[in-house]
Amino acid sequence: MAKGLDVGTMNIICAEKGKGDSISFAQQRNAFLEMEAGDLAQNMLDSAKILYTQKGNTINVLGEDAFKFSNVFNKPIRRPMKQGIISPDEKESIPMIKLIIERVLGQPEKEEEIVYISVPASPVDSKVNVLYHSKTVEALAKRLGYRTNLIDEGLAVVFSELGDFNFTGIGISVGAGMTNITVAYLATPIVSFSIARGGDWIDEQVSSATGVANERITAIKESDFSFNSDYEIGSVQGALALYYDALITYIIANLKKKLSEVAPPDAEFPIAVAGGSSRAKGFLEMFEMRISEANLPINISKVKKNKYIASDSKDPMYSIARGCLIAALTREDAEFVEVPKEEEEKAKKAVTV
Amino acid sequence: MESKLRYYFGSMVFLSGLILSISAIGFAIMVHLRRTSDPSEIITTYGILGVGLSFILMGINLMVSQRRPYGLYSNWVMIFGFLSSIFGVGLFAAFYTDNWVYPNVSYVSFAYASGICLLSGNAFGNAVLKLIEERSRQLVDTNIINQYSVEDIEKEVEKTLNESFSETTRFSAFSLGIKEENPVFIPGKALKDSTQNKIEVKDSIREVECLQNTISGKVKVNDYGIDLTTKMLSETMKKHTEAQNQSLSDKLKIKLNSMRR
Ligand SMILES: Nc1ncnc2c1ncn2[C@@H]1O[C@H](COP(=O)(O)OP(=O)(O)OP(=O)(O)O)[C@@H](O)[C@H]1O
Ligand SMILES: [Mg+2]
Repeated sequence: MAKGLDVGTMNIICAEKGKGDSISFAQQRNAFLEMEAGDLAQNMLDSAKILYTQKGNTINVLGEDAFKFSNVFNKPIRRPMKQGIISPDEKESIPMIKLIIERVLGQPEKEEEIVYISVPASPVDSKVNVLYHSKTVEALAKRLGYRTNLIDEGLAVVFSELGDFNFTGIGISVGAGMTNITVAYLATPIVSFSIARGGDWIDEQVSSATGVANERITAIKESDFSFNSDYEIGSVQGALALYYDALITYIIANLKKKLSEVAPPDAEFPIAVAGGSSRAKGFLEMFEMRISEANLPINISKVKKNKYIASDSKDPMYSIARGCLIAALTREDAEFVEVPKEEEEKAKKAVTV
Repeated sequence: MESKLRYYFGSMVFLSGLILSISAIGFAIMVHLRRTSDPSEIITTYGILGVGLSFILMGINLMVSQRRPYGLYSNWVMIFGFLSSIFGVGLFAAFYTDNWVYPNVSYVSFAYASGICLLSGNAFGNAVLKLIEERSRQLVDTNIINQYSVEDIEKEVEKTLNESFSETTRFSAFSLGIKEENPVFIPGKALKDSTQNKIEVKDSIREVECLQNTISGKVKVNDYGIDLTTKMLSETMKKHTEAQNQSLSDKLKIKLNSMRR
């Protein structure tokens, strides 16, 4: 069966078809914690089913557990990716990301199993090399025996959320390290770009503004924040609202700039927003408000709002993996039935003649 | 640092030129200068005005001047132009009234005009060069990443991946009894034995069929022919702009290289 893989700065998520009419998601945090072997009894780790590796005298705790341990031992967590990509300077953490990907993706069930992997588009505001990252992730999945295809994260959002609109519209993924945006017309991307800001940026800014530790900010943001409440000036929540707003404004300004460089077809473009950072309560309403103020050079029919309930496939965080899965399944079906392709060829000829 | 000093010096010269010219005009107004005025008044006015103008141009030259490789010529042009215009003013002061007749007049005007032309031409040239260089620097900067081809990157990735898991040792074919330097990451028990938690959610994934239809052009609501044309058009447009960008930056690079030489 085909699979979809979302390799993000914060989460690595795999989607595959479950039993019956269902999708099964496997998720791990893209993080690890380095510790001295002496700090921990290994059989304790084993019996607690902690994911770790040992190399000489260091133990690396992987994934979700790394977060728990970092709180207990008060040690900073290490993250193999930054601003959406594996950076060429972080080569030592590649084995860790490899293990996490292996863990989430699992072994292929058959030869040449198709997997679609989401990768960021080129950022407009930073010079990072997206290609290096994409090739690394692709090579890791290939080594497991998969047939890999890459897909822009924004397009994955379009595939997952804008099926009712013939895959025409704007897909936005507001993740941890990045925000990815794709404007698509009938499943074909017209503009695809990314912005090197996301949830991490908000955390960093709020942390340096309030002096509260970064991890603490993340926790408050994820569990105790909503746009609709009034917060005191100077509180963490107040700062969060401020920087969230700055991020949204920045995203829309860049979208506007990019749109002015192309001539999109005259159609209605609904917007779908996904990614973990869009989980915040009231985010979509806020986004909709800023969009309506921005006066974009494109006909935005609406901002699509999902009722998000925790652990639902409508969870915006899973939306990217789901989009990748849709792409993979479609590809698989297409290879199964070759007829539509021929038809397309014919049509193409008809148009060119 | 040196260029900053030069810039500072240039702006001082420019400013003093400006003050000279303004004071010359002020002087002319004060003494009600006209054709029949006293020669000394005429000499003072035009002398100061002429020197002021040369100073202004000299200051601009100093401010926009280039360092290597054209800096050398441009420096000579600047100095020559400045001296020639000052010389012209000096000649004028010496010849005026008594010897202000045919050949001398043309000597004076030639010296002064050529000096001013050299100075202003040089300033203009330098400013344009500076502009071009700034542009191309921006282009080159953004293209640094693109210098690597896809194959380069693939090779680099392959190398990095091989190195980062030291399972692939080069001695593996025949063990020479050499103990491996970096030990392999030994996976913990849970990593090998336990299975990954999965969340299963109800979802019929209707989108797969829709996507199939959209991609193959079987969408009912839209005009199929038009849609396909649009698709092909957007492809062509993308390729076209890419090619255009490429050729533009290539041209600039070539130009820049030939200039450097
Ligand atoms: N309930 C929540 N409210 C606000 N933010 C949240 C919530 N849950 C998660 N986040 C934030 O979402 C981000 C993670 O989202 P996601 O998993 O989509 O990113 P990613 O795909 O790993 O990163 P990227 O796509 O940028 O590489 C983190 O910054 C996290 O703090
Ligand atoms: Mg993401």
